[in-house]
Amino acid sequence: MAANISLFPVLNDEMLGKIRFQATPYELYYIREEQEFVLRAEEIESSLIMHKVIDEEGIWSPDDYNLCIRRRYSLRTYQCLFGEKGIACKNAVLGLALVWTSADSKQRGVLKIGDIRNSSQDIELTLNYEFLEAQLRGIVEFTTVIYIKEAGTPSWDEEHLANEYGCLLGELDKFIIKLDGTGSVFPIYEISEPGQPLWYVKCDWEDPTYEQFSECVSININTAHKNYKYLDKTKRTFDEQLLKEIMASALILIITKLKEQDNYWDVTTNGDDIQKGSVSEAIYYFINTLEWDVSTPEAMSISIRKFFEQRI
Amino acid sequence: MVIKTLNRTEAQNAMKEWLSNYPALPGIEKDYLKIRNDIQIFNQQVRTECPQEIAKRDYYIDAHIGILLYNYLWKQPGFNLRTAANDDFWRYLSVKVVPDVVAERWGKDNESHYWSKPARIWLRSIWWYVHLSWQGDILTTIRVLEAPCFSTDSILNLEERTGRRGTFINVYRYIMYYYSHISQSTLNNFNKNTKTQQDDLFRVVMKLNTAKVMVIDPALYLGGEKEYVRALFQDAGVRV
Repeated sequence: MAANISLFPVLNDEMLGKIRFQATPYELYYIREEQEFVLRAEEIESSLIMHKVIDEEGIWSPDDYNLCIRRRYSLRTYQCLFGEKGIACKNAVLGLALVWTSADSKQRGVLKIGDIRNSSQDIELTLNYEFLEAQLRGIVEFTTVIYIKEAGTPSWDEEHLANEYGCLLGELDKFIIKLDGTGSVFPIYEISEPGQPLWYVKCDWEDPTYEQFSECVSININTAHKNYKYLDKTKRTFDEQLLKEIMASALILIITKLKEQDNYWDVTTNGDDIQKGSVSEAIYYFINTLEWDVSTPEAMSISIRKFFEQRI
Repeated sequence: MVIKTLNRTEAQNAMKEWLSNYPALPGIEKDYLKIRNDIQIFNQQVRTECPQEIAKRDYYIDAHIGILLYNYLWKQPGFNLRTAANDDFWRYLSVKVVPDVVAERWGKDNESHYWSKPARIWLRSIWWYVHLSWQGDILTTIRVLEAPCFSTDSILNLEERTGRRGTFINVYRYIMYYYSHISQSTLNNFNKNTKTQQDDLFRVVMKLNTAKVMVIDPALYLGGEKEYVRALFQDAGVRV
């Protein structure tokens, strides 16, 4: 959930373990001539939640056909969600829903899956939904959530619990599909600008937590410069070390620039609520996955160069 | 129409090319020549019909060209929501097809409104302004957009706040609807009572929405998005 500080108890790991939430993998399919055809969701770059949508027959495309999803859910021993130590009043009704969000499509929505009432019955639910042809583009994120479906009457020990219709109480899991885009292209361009230096960096963002890294950052290599021959991979003069130096310097510059923007820097390092593919996400990845030390300019200089020495 | 696109680099080059051949318009295929011609015609029509004495001339032009463009593009085969959400399509339209129309509104040395800043690409932003205000048909929508409370600031506010996790389209449509129906005296009164006397109700409601969607999903609210939006106005102290 996007809210960092919650004013009421939300789903925690202990409850998650108790309710034995189980769901089948998402089934993706489309309809052609009134028949269902299966689509395959393939993991992208060993990410467990990000998927490409593939049609083995090569007929389906997001422009020409709809996209349907189906999934089955089961819950057991979910009584712990109700009452003083839970997340909702004993006589409230919780709901299971699928929130779908897509900044690329400029849309979002929510699909109701079913009710969770305070009882001891096992719950079995199915979700089946059709997105229209050409409705979605880019990345679409699916998050399974629990929310207050109907408010209850709080008893004296339940007044701390959320009790407003529609209130989101926690996420169960996440699934992401990617319908367009080549993804992580590193934005290096060759330009021809006589009189300009051999290379320069452009950071053209207003909101780095939203704008795409590959769109608003560019590292420009000037083919009109007399020393371009050292960067031309087709020539024997090509000097790999020079290219690494340029990359390292450029990245230090980009990170330093973002660091100067206090608000955005905090959001970036927390990693909350940042757009997929954005400048902030790229830098969050550098810091957390590649373990670059960005605490001081010197540390940054060393750790980024070490990275390039080892990896490329 | 075959959907044509320009990415950032292509748009930048195409823009340079257009400017160096100015005032000649870029060469394009027949389909798009027709589209160019049609957009030029309704651009002229809106500018001629615009009342001379009007106070918010820019807004009048944005809203009216917006609605004509909205209606026009939906009628083009091949155009769909996926296209509308594709910045590269708007870049093509702005730089290759009707750069003259964009120039009439923003001047030609203003690359952010042609291609460089997605949220500011003018054709994109007026199309989405209409989409987020859409009330089911042209007449009802134009009546909402013509309410005196809206200005070019509203376009910015609505467009630039569309979230990084996607947009609740119905929530925006209800906000536009209810806001357009609030009397001018109520609005003036509201502004007078705010701390800075500058934060208008529209901005306040948009901010409340940003905060509230963190905890409540509007479609799951009792009564759905409609009641959710009414509650936003209620929270701001205005009954709708």
